[in-house]
Amino acid sequence: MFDIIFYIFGAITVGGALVTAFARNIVYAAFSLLFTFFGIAGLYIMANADFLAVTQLLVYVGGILILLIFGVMLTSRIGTVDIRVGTGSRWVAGIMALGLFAILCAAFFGTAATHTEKSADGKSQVVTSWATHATRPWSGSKWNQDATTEALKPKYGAPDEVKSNEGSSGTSVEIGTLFLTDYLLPFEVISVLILVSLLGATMIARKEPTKEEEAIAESVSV
Amino acid sequence: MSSLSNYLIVSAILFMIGASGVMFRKNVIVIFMCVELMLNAVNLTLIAFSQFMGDQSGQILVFFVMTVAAAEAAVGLAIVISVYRNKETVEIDKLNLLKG
Amino acid sequence: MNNTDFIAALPLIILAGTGLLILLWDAFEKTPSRAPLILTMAGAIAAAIVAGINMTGPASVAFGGLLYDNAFSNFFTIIFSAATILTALLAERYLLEEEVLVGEFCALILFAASGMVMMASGADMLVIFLGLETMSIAFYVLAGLFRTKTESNEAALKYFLLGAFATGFFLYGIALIYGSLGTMNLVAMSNIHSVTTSGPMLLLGLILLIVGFAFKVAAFPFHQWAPDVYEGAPTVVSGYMSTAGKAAAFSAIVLVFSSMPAGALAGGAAKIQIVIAALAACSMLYGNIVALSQTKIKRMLAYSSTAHAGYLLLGVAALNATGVAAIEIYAAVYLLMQIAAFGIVALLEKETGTGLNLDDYAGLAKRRPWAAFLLAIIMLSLAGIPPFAGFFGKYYLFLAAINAGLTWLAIVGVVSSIIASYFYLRIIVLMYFREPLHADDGIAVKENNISYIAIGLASAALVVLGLMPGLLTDATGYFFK
Repeated sequence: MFDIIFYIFGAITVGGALVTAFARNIVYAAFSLLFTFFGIAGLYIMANADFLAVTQLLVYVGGILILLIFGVMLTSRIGTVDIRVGTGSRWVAGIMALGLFAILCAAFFGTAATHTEKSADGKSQVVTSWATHATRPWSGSKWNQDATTEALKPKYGAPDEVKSNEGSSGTSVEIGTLFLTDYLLPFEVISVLILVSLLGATMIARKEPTKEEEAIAESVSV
Repeated sequence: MSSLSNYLIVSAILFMIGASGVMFRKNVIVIFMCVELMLNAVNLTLIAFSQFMGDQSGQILVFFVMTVAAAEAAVGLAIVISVYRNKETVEIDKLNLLKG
Repeated sequence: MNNTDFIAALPLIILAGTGLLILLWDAFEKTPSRAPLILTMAGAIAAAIVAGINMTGPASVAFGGLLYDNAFSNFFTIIFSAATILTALLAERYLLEEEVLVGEFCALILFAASGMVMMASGADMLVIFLGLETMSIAFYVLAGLFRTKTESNEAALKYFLLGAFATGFFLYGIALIYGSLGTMNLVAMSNIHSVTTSGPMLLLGLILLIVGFAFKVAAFPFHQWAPDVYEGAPTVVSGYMSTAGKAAAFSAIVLVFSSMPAGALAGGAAKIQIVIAALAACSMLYGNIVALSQTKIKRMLAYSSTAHAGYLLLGVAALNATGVAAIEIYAAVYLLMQIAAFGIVALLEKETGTGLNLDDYAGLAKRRPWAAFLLAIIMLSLAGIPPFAGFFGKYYLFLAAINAGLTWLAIVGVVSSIIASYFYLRIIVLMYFREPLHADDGIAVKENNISYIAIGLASAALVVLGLMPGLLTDATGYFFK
């Protein structure tokens, strides 16, 4: 069952991606991107990343995709830009992409999975291999509901919500806790990045005011 | 069959499609969509590893990647619009001024 | 968060905070003024002072292993601050004449600087990634600062698309390293004392990471965007991007590579070294050879910046303590040289309305003796001719390569430097021994003293550091003792 659902979501994701990358019509490309994003959200849920699945839908489908579609509409007559400089042909690009894929697959299958553990002297050590996990998908992981709650209890105390809902709060409790404890710095610093993009986007996309508009703005502000 | 391998293969396929889209296509917005595909592929890899190893930092990174992708999308579209606006008024026939 | 965390992050906080302050100031200020530039300089100076004080203190890791506070990170913080100060000085006249919003410009260079500080002091790949993106997004915007100029728009678009593409590779590299080692934290990574099983995934992750970085520093096969972007972007911005941005990328790559657990790569370390050495050799040769045939000065500087990325990669290929210190030294020297060179270009571009073709520099010594004199110092230093600082920077890099057993690479470096000296010296010949192509048509030359101060300071630093290289080698703190 797990596998069948996985393959369905995987097929939606990959199919959508193919249409996005190779459709002639830009509107089709934008809409098939929607399917890819949904498929990926499904895959996240299957990996127990429920909070991120919801975020994926909100940010990608609700935000980025809408922005892209606006971009398509606003610049419907925009020409093309050739960012390929030099004489590289499509075939070379295609072979490079396939080669990259082959190398990636080789690396995935050729690599024993690893997993760090603290040894007695306080240093960590990379142990275990994929072989054990391959037979029992996910079961070796600490990342399931009960284990999460158990793992968090000594660290942060069990939140009441977790108790009352019998562990149905998913990963959001832990992610939220991490944001305000271990990952406080990036959580604060990302606001600078968002400010930069906000400032930059308004600076660049702003319309150049005409003389009359400037005069009106002057009179209003006085 | 290992679920981790499944996830990794799907994400490698997605990354490859995205990368070849960036190299093949000429429309700016489609290129940008392909970049989003690549970022999604990375997110999928991170989530798979994070789940597999029971380590949360992968999920945290995914969260930040999404934020960055959104910020990049905003700036990118602003740039596209400014190019478009000048192109309409200045009437250049090709976007390749900066050669030679 | 406690006191030590706060102190470690203080340069970062000062830089980003000054940016916020400028934005607030700008909201209430109607007429264009110099205040944002003065604030920028004050903020950068304060950040540099704090970093200098931190540098003398003990090394530590703040925020539970997210931010390094050591000699390396503080050294880079100081040079990023110096780049910000120089850029603000050079930008003064340049921006006021172009009617660009000075406040926004200043805020963006400060935010970019705070991103660079994160890259140089990140102890977690998450922080390095965020720093890289903060810097890159600010650069995309800065490249497109002249909204009404098609060249500037296009530079921004090209930079943005290729930068986002590179981010994909960079992140995939992070993901694979994370999967192989089980952590993204560099401190935890360097504490892994034995790896029982490992495969090609870690190697591939590192190579993808290198690809991402090579895009950002415009190293050889990934350099194509650089000439177009540096030519189209505002000249002062090109100077900032090609120096501080590259230095930041190199600081981050050194951080990641130096935290790889011993033995994790097994035989892979040699492969990585060969990949980086090949990138370095190709960048040096290609950049310098193509720069020979350029007729526009900004494109020439762009290709020469690819070559300089190659020299710095030589230090990365060495992967030893000498290499790290040599990267620090050369990053600082390169930053001074290249910002000053772009500064002179910006100065002449604004004063005479031309100055973008090499021919415009013919007979410059007669028209503008000071500009020609300063440019001559900078060019001699870029060419690596003693006694200027560029020579010592290169010397330490080649020394590091030889120490690491990469003698062939050092030889390639020397050969490419000799090739490079041709086009650097050609400019000096043009300025001093050629008659101007077009006489001054009575155009009133507008003096720009503030830019001269900045360029003069940078050139003086090049001479002083060239005569007393000990000042820099002591600051790097590690070795040569």
